Amino acid sequence: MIRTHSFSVPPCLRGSATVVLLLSLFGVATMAAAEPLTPVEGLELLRRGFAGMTDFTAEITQEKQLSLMKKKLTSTGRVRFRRPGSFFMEIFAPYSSRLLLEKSDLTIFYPAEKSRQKIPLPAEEGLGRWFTYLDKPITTLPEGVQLQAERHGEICTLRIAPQGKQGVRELTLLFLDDGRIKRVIIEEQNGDRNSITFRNMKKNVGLTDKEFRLE
Amino acid sequence: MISRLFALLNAAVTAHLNWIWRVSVRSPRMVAFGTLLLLIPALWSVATTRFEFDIFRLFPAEKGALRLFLDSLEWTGSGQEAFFVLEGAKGELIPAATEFAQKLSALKVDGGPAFKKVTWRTVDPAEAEPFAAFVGYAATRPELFLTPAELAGLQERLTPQGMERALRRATTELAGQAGMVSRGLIVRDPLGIRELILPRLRQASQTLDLDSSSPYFLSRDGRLLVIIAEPAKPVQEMAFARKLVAAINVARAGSRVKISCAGAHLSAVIDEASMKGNIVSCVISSLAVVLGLFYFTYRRLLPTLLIPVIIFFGAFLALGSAGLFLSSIHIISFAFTALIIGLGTDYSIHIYDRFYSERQHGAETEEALRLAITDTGHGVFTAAVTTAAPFLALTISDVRALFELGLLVGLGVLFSLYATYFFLPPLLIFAERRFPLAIYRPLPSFGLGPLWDCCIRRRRGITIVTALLIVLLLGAATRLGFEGDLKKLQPRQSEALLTQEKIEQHLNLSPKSLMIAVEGSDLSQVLARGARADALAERYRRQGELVAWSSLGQIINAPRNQKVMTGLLTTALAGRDSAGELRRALERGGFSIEPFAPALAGVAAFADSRPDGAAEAVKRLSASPLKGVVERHLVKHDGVWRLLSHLSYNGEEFHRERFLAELATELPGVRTTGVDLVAEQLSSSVRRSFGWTLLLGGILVLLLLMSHFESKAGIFASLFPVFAGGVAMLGLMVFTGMKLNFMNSMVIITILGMGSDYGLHIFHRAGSVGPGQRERFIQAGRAVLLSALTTIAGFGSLAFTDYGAMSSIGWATNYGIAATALFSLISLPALLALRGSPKGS
Repeated sequence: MIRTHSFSVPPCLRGSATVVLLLSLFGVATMAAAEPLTPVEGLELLRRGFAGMTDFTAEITQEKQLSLMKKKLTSTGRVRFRRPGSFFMEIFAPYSSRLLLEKSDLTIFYPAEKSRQKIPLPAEEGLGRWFTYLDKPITTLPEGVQLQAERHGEICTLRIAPQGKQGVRELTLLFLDDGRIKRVIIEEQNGDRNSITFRNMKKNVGLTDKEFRLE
Repeated sequence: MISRLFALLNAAVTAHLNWIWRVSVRSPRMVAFGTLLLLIPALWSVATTRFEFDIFRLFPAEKGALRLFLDSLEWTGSGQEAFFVLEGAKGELIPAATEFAQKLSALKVDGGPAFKKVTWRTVDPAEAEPFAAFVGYAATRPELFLTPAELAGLQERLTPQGMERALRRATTELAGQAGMVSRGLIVRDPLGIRELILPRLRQASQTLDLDSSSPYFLSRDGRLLVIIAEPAKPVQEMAFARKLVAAINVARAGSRVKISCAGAHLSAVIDEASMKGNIVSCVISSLAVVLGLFYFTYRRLLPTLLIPVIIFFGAFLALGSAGLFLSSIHIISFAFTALIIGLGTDYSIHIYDRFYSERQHGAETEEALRLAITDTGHGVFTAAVTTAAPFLALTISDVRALFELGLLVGLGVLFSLYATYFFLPPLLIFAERRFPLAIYRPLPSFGLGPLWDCCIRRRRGITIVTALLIVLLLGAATRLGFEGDLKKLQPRQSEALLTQEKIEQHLNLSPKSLMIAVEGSDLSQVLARGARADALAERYRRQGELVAWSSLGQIINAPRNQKVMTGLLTTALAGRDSAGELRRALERGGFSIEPFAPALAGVAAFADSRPDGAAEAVKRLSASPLKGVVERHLVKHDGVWRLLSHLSYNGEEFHRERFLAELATELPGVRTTGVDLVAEQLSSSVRRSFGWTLLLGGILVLLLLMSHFESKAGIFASLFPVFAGGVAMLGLMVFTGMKLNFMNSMVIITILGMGSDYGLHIFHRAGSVGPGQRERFIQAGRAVLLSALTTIAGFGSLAFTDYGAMSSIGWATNYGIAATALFSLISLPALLALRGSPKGS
């Protein structure tokens, strides 16, 4: 049985580029027999997995099925994260792009054109607030989204459906007890779907500033 | 002929004073009845008078720069907005702003939302879609949104290679993590034409010098953040505005950062309490000083207690009478009634002093009163009328501040005079019967006897020193500057003013600005004319005279440029099937064609000539998150379009006069405004008022003095201290770093009336050589000294107010009155002694 619960995500989770960034941190694993979890249990499992994690790196494979495109956009790349709020993501050729989120400053770099886009995000859309949220034991749930949680063997699945008719329709997050994320699936209201699979995720590797440079 | 007329006038005044003496002494009930008869309608008038708080309403705003300035506040709605400034460390500012903005959004007044809109950051994620919709529209209308210089960029994007490159970039964006945001832009503008349009949009929407890396209205130093809120109702509704301010105060209480509030009209409410407190403390302190001085000198309680009654009566009747002519009175004008405290006391001093002196010399009560009312009272009458006349002459001014000041103080002086005439005699008769004095002890002479002796003995030396002093002060007075900055006239500790200054210091693109309004009923014509103003502004910017300028023309091309662009596009795209080429490029890139149908249709119509494009562009822009750009630059009011261009400049490097002359030649009838232009308009208005009032007030005072005195010496005695006092006032202002301004310049005129009293009284009593001249000088001099001190106490209270306008008047008047009194008491006796050979005691 899958239990549902109504809760409100912090504004950082409400339909913007940051949503993608946050959930790009996570990956997916194989399915086993489903064991229902309460939303609090699901989020608490995620929180415990992240406890003690100062940084991580991972390789990714991204598959995007967009309504604008006839073909599926498949790309590979890597992600890096370091507390409290640094996130780096690189997509390799042929769709080369690099993205850096430092606190609430989002910069995208396109190597082919050597062009940069800087997008200042509101403070509450930075990563810091999200991790502050995950720092404390979760006993109550915010309002504003539907949440489902379940466990298949060692894999926990969280399905988060923000309320509203725009942006993200559902986020699916698959992770292990130790916090290693296996897959994130993002489905949008317009039917677009993005699946990001994580490989070789390494925790607490001692990332330095130079790993968070765009050029 | 004139002598006979003046003799008749004098006889009429004497008869009038005799009548007053008879009525006040013998028919006190009639006095009480008459008082009541006047007070009732005055009470009704005061009760129905509305008090204004808006500083802008003090000045003539029917035309010129101030009219346009006030109109623009109304048109753009910025006069309604409340600005909140948060100050603190950057780390604290943003969380505090988030919390405070949420509180403001949830704020209620009378059960309804307090604000229609609270804007606290430059980027609102909810506006991404309408923004993309506008950009998509703009990308299909290059003739409206691109300049000929950008045509090459567009042409490059329409080549097969350009299309491939743009679509490769679009695919990369879609594959990346910003794809979700970019999708809306890409589907509407697959060729990335927005990259040519967005810089123009950004330039026109940048009205403040903000930290561009922050999504908030944050200053570049990161220490100041602005939140803009639009109240739910007009803030001119004072009841709503007061409740709104109370709610704001609750919302900002306990914030971890300092939050201050400003707004063109809301500021009036914010400062209302402090203004009222300021005025009340002024009135109370000056009243206490005046009563203290009177009691210290005469040691009699009942006449002392009568003074506040006389002042209240004078001020109340003045306010009531003014209320008959005016629908509203400005609170600053009302504050000037504090002057009546000083001026209205003078008459009690002169009359009571004479009464006391006569009683001391053995006269009966009724006889002492008769001499006080009809003899000294004659001098008092002339003095009061010469004081009131220049004030009343101010009513010819078109500057409301001066009109109301003149009317209220002029009437207040006259009503105080009559209150003294009618109330003092019955009170003194009552006091003599119930609380008779056993002995009339000599009154304090304040050292006036030795002063008289000294002046007579050293008359030549004093005359020479006086002449030198006047020359020195006159020299200094020629260096007196004029302060045209209206802000310097407002309360120095005003929260709204200080907040506004912070915004200007931290966020303004430049210290000064100028606005051009091009008006007309046809939008295309207005845009076409506006383009000519823009071209002129751009030329001045390139010359380095302007820091920046903004106009709707920076976003939407004027009709002429639209035609040019359409022509260029037709030539550039002749024989090309750009839409077909794009379709094929999309197919090659793996894109679905259907979502791009509107974009393809737009590309197909690039070179089409479309009428009335500007109107549609304005409509689309108004419906987008960039509507603020339209609101700032284009207004339709009463069926008339107003295109507003904003020019920013630093100061003297901008040759404003030359620019305005060129603008007038290029666009006859165009209106302009700005702080400097408003100040110049007011300065010119005040200068005009000053000239006419000085002429009228001077003639009235001269006629009154000619009527009062038969001799030229009497007229000289009255006018010499005024002239010397006026020069001293201006010279002392230079020495103390003051400047003339819109308000204190009028003090020169009022000094004319007030100051002439002193010489008049001295000459009236001590002008004739003979026995007792020294005693008569002491008696008149004491009254003059006390009058000056009480007037200074009245004005002195103004000098210490927070209001720059009132404070400058207070200081200027104090300098003038003090100097005039000293010239009357020291220099005048010396000059009179030179004329004749007065005996000492």
